Amino acid sequence: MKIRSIIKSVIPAFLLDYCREYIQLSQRNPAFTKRKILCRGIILRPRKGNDQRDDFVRQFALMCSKQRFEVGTYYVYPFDTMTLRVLPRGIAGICSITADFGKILKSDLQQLRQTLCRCSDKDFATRENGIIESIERLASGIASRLESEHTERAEVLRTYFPSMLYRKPQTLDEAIQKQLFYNALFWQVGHRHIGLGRLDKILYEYYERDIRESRITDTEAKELLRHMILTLGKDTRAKSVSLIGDTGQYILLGGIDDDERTIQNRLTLLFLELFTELNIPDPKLILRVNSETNDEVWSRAIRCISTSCGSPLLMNERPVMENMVRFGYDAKDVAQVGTSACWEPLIIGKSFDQNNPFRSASPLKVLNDLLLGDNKTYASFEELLAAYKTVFAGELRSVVHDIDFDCSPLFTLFFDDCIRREKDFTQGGAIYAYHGAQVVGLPNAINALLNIKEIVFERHLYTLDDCREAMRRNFAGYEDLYSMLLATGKKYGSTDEEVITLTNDLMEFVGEIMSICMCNGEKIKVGFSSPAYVALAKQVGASLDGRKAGEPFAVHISPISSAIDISKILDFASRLNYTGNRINGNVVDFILPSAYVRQPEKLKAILKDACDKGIFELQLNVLDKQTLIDAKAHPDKYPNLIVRVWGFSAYFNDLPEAFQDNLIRRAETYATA
Amino acid sequence: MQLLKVTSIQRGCVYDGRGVRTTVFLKGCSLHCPWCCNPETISTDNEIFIDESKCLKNQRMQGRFCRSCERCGGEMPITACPLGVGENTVKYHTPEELYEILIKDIGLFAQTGGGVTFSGGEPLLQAEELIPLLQKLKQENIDVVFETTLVAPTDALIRVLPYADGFIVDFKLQPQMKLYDTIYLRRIKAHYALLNGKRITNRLVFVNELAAHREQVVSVLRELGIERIELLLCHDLGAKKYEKLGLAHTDCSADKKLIIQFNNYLKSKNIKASLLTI
Repeated sequence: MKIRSIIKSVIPAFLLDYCREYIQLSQRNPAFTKRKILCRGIILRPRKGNDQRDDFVRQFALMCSKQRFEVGTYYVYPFDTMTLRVLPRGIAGICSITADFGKILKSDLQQLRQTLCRCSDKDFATRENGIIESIERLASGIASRLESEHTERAEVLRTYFPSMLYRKPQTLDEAIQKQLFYNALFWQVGHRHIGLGRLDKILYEYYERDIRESRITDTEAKELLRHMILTLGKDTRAKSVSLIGDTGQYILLGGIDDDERTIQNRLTLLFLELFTELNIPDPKLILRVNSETNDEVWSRAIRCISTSCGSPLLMNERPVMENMVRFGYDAKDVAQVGTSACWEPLIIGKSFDQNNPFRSASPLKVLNDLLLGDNKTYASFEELLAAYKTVFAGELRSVVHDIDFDCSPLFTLFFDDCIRREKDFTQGGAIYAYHGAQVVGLPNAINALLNIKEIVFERHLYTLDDCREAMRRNFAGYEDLYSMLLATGKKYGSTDEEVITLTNDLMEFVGEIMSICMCNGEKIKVGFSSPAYVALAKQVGASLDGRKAGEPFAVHISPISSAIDISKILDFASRLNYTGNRINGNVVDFILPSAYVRQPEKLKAILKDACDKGIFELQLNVLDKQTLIDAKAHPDKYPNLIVRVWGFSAYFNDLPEAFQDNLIRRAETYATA
Repeated sequence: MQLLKVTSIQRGCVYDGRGVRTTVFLKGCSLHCPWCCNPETISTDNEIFIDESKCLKNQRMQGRFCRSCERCGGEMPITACPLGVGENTVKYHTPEELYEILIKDIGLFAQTGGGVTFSGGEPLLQAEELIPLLQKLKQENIDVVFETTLVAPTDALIRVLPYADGFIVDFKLQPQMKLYDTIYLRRIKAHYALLNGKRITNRLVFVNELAAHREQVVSVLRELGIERIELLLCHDLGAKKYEKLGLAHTDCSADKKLIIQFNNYLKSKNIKASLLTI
């Protein structure tokens, strides 16, 4: 901190900003030299005094006119990783939005222009018209570039640019090109974690017509989808938010439609098949399942999971949707449930829900702070639990605060509600703005509480003061207590009534406190899955769940004890209470023993049964400890080893050591379960 | 009340018969196969697993509760050690208790054609105690399979037959077992004949020594009319359990090449074999 403040006082702010921006560009483009970045980098800074929305339009116009793009590729994807839009100070970027690409594909800029003519707010209309002009300019630029390309493919693409902006796609190929074009623009303006949405639903009509009219074969359609997936995955590093692979590019499959019918068509199967064959981490798949999901979809999903690519994450849509309605989403909208990049539910094409804008609340850190801060004696476990809840409530309240978000005249153009309301997407345009909070390490807190209850209050083996001293010393000299904490009694994930009751009690308490917190005037959701299980845990000292200082927390709502196998954790997770506002993602993340992978039919039955019983979300890794250890020691031997991290997949070699070690440790724990 | 002696219960099993199953490991077996991967199921007595790696005494430390531990001259049984050093191998269950655990997965059983597998040890040695539980399971139409060596009293087999849907028969034809005598073969033949009409999976743990006795194996299988058998490659996954029981242990892990040759030989004699590895 001291060095930072010295630097800040010596170096002018504008120079610091300049450095920060170029560092950002080099991180996005590691293959380029610093010189190349300095020469080629385009940084579009905000202009002081401008209306934020007008400035967005100005930056977007510059972006579209200066953008460099390749046209020799199968699809044109105008995302220039060397161009950076900078946000004004203190403004938070927009993250994890899924636009309704179904509507975008059918959009006609000319028609949109006419709609804008009818707007009463002329400034609003001018801004949106500005966006349309820039899009047209970019598309025309692409068309001119294609003129000079003398390939068969360029000839085809020339028929799309710029005509596709003014019509519903005429073929699957054109639909994919149009979708990629707009997707690239969302990335280019600096929005992050752009979801692709329900592509089996959206693209099916184009696929079906092409097949019906014998324009393409099924194999050719699959090839087009393959090109699309590879195009989306080619800029993984530039799109990653924190760790490489964390791009939030999800393709959503399955799930019911507005008419309650489950989408499971040929494209659902083709996507699952392609991901099984390609075995790549980015983009990723999410599969919405329900009791109508057919056997073939389940089988292909299991086959895909078995490749260890981490896809698809399974969303058990019934409990998710029912609880969303209870929370406040309109029943007619929830059929379009998608996620914020990883697992947090939102409504595709209607939500500006920012589901991870706050720091995660850590119930374990609060327990540590309470125990080490007060030195108080408690007459009973119940008294301690009550004191804990009081402090925890304070922590939860401190997590939530108002946030100034970036605007997006670009999203505004494609979200119906924004044009109807004549408001920017983030300023009241989108009808849902229920942001979400996250709790990290709930299983650790539950284990610590269960241990205290048994060891201190029931068996009187240690006093609370002994425990405090052991925590301060990171268990040095208290190896007996440390072993006991790991070995003793009931553990999170067991279906013992006491464990379930305590977990539900704490979850309900979190929900209750969060229900009185607001962000930007809207109520918020809370979930028990968070990406912060390594980063935040580094700052938390030894704890009474048998965790040494700095060791990672549990991943989401997954077990941390080798006594809990997959049957137990699925049973347990289906008995947790996700009602109220507790809908912001509740993922069981398990590492499967290979025996299950060799029996896919039986694994399918286990997963279907868990969904029937009421789990919320599930993601599976298929890994064994020995492979991971070897991969860490000899990365060259495993260039393509993919692992599931918090809600995305990544190459094992790209992960920081702390994440690699955590996966190895978890693979060992689950192997003995 | 008759209590069942159980060593463990595993839900979500994908290898012990048709569908997804819950396997109940019962204690007691009259055989002592040197490769047994569940040595705690052999004796009918309660034995104690001792995990020396958890005992502070071995780390030259002493916890405050160690003074009262029987290993340090105190009175606290090692199974009460809060570090989990000692663990009883037997869990006593009433049929009702066991039933409550087993029906947790009734939906899964119905979906997959799975059910409950009684293994061990030799599950037939607790046939009498099992009857009330078997009756309840059949009332719910739950599929029941016994994984057995058939080395058990004939009465016991006859007692469970009305409730059993299938059997996994583990043949003991390995030379180490020294069971090529006529008594074993006569008894197996008689018991095997009783299984007529049930679903049968034949299984043989492959140890390297079997390679030299392949002709005898074929002859026995033919005598029993067996045309299909699963070969399970012998592994050493139970080593830690022997250590925890303080028992001597021989690693009988088998050679993959030999099992493939053995498999080919069986095929050449028109016996279809499938390989199982864990």
